[in-house]
Amino acid sequence: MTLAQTDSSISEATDVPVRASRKPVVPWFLIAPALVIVLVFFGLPTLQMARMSFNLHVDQRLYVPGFTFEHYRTLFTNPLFSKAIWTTVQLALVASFFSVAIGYTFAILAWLKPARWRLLFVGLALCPLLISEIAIIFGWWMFFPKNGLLSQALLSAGLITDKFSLMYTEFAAFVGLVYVTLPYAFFILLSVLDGIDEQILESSADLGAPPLVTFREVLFPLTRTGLLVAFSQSFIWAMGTYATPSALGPDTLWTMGFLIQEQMLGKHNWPLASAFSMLLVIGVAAAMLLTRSLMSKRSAFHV
Amino acid sequence: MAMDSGLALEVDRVRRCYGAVVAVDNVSLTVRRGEFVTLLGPSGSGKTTTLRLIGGFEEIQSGSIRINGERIDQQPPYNRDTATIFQSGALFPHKTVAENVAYGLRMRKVPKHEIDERVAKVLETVRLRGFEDRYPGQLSGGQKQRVALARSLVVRPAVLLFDEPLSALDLSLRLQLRAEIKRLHDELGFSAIYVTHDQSEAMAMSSRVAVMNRGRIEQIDKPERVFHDPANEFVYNFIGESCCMPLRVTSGITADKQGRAVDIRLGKGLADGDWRVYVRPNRVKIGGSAANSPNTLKAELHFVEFLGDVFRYHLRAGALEIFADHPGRIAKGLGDEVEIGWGSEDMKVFQ
Amino acid sequence: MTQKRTNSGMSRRTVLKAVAAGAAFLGAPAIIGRALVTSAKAAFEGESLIAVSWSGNYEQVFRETVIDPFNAHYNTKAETVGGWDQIVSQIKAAPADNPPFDVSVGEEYISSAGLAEGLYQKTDATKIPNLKAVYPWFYETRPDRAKDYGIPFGGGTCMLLARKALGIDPTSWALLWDQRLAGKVTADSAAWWWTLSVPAVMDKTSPGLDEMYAMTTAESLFAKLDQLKIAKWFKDGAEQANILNQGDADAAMSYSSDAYTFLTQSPDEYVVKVPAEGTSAWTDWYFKVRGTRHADLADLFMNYMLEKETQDRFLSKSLIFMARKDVTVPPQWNNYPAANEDFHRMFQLITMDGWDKINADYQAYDDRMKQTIARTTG
Repeated sequence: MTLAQTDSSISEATDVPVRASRKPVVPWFLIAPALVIVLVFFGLPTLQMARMSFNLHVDQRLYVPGFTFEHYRTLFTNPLFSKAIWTTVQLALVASFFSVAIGYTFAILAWLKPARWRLLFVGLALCPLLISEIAIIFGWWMFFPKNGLLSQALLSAGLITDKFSLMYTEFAAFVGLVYVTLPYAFFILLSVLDGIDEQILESSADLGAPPLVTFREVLFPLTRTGLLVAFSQSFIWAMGTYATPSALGPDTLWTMGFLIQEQMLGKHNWPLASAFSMLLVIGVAAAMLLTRSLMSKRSAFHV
Repeated sequence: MAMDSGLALEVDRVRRCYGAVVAVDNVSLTVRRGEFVTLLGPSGSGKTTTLRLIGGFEEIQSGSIRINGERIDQQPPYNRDTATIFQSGALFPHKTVAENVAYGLRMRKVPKHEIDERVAKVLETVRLRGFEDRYPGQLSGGQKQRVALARSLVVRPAVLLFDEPLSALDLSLRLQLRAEIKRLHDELGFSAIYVTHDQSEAMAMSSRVAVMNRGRIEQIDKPERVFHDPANEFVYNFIGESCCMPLRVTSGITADKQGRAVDIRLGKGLADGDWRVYVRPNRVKIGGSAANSPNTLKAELHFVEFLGDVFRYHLRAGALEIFADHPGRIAKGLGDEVEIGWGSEDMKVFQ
Repeated sequence: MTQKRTNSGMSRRTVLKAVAAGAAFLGAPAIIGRALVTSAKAAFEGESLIAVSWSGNYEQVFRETVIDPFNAHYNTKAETVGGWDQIVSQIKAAPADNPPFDVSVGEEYISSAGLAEGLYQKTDATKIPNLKAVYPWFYETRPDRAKDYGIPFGGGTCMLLARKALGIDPTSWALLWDQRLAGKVTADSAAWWWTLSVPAVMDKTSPGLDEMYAMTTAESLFAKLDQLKIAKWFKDGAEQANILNQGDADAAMSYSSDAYTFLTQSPDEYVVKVPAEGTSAWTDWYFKVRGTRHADLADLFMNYMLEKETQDRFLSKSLIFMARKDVTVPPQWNNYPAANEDFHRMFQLITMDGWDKINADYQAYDDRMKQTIARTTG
């Protein structure tokens, strides 16, 4: 700053100090309506759920008002539940990783390619969002089995000699999950890429950086935050999606979501379902907080 | 290695099409070491594409490009000894000014201490000392272009490529930076190709100007030669303001396109046929001494514009419409007949 | 469909504020005034009613043979939606004075939960004269605490299904363990109690399904299930259909309404029977949901469900057994129970008392079943 003021040839001032001096009250005032909606429609039900998780479940009733840590203890002592936590997290992590990797590749293509390509990619990515999860599951049911599309196509292409089934495998559940989360990763990353001037890739090459170095030095650092957001979004969706893995995976693939609905609807055990849901909510919230803290460290240049 | 010809860049019969559109059509061009060559032309004339072919961002379809005698047209951009200053600056937003400037040196594996030295020196040169730790987002438009310039200068490329670097800036800043680039060129003696559609920019900065039109170079020469001795009608038209008088000469009688006779007297007679006579408005004399000029025209005063330093007199003679710039008012009213005149050297005639 | 439901929801809200609220407070006179069947056609004109039935094929048959004729007859706007184990939670989660359904189906499991939660209204038998024509078995197998609620409509059974091409007659549950069908069997892992009831039906050491009702005696039943050579367990009717259609399984422990769908849609593909050992069964009761704003119409509807014509229509399109004694048995039903004793002999309910015992130890059952699933999954 000092230099800028003394050097007469540099007369254009930067606007940074102005931004820093803005009063912090105003933003709170502006987000108040949204905040109220969030608190009323998400906060209150979550609080209710938290309360429900301590109620009793003693007979055929859905719950009996009371206070017990019993359900939380069950979650960690019953191997069915504790294993489901690990299964779900593992599946969600792997699915999110691939979802982000694939979404990143396609987002970069959509970003760099001419408009008609972009339209194609965006259209393809929108499809899963427009079709209900159940319809998508029926689609996979036509795709994975021994007499399904995949097997038939490979057979008629001469790539395999015997029909095979991928239905009811962890792989199918994983593919189904990636399909659910991919559009979110894709659109988040595309929006991040759209904020980047394409020409900086050229300027990097121009200054002597081969493509991989350009990726490491320029594209990756600029999209790192977006990748984190995309990953955490995918992770959240993958953690919460239960119908897809349960319909495509093996009989023994018991995810948190599946067990929650089983306890809630089948077993009529609302407190246990709530306790398990609370664990899921806390886990997801922790993932988001972690993402946020990583983000704030890494995006200093956005000012 | 070819023998040193003193040429930094040789572009030889280079061609590039996009589908049916010929963007660059057999363009040949050389840049001597230390020379500042401008590609000037309207938008769509192929000047930016030519620059991008040299930088390696587009592939040539035929012809060749050599830098310092070495053929490089099949090399990717990162293997070409060029550095581009983009219109947008294209700075890395996540790197500080110093990191941006050091980037090309790091890619060239220059030792750390030398990088620091050269970065400091070049920032001094472009008057950005003290801005090392700023991010591009904290800089003004002019400062960004200075950083872009420094980032390219610091690697000392065989040819610097300027892609309309000033067109996004406002007028006063543009003039200021234009002078600064000129000063740097005089000081450092780099070789450069500068793309612009602004003729005054081209005139002010260049050793030579190449005027481009529809993918071809119409003329390449010193700025004053291009201005005073345009190779063809397009160049004449594109460089500087001019009035055009379409004339038809039949059996020695000069008329406008509709065949109405015009009271025009030209020093050098025109043969029968259709002609376009051009004259620069600021060279047209009006009233007073005008009648003594070798070329004169009697016309009717249509209207007058005040442009600040001059008045612009719009005149009509039959279907001809011309205008003359004159510093003072003349003692004529609208609709009066006025005689104007101009020297033969100020006139261009094309058939 | 959605449109209709939205409409009824709208009228539900608006009508309540003015009319139905009045009926609730003024009570008796209004009800008596409207209860006369002769004037019902005018009284209920345009009124809506939502009855939740079992999702899947059952819901469709219920709409065709009960709902649509009812609407045609009384000019009402009754509708049915499909449900299963979420029914109780849905009613409980909604405001007590604005339930999502006016009439709810329930077999023994859902009835138990619904009754425990107090979600049903007592039945006024004077408004449902057709109750007199019902087999006493429905009441004889029900504990006293439940007898005052709802009306019996019919009931379903577990059935054994096999692919016709195999040429194996599904006359014994033992077929599920038969070497010829190893790895080609499917059964229910979600409502696992029906799967567990199969070895209980085969076991003749104790009456009915009693060995199911305690973990100590149920262990041997689970052990029997552990020996199944399962292709894939199913969690719902759609999955069962997919497993069979894809050829993953050739035999299934199925349910009467699903089995009826398979038989009607691909009559040459499957053969379905109630095995000689007998079968486990449930009864479908329909309850007036507490807080309903269409209480009188619900009574009218429930009585209509027990008309002979209604019962005949439903029976003609299903493999379900009906509550009325005088139904006309269609040809697809061989061996339809002809007397009250036949019901006792042929059908073994997982009783509401039984459910009390299972529920007390539910998580242990569920954990043990998941072990079975793990042990039988390749």
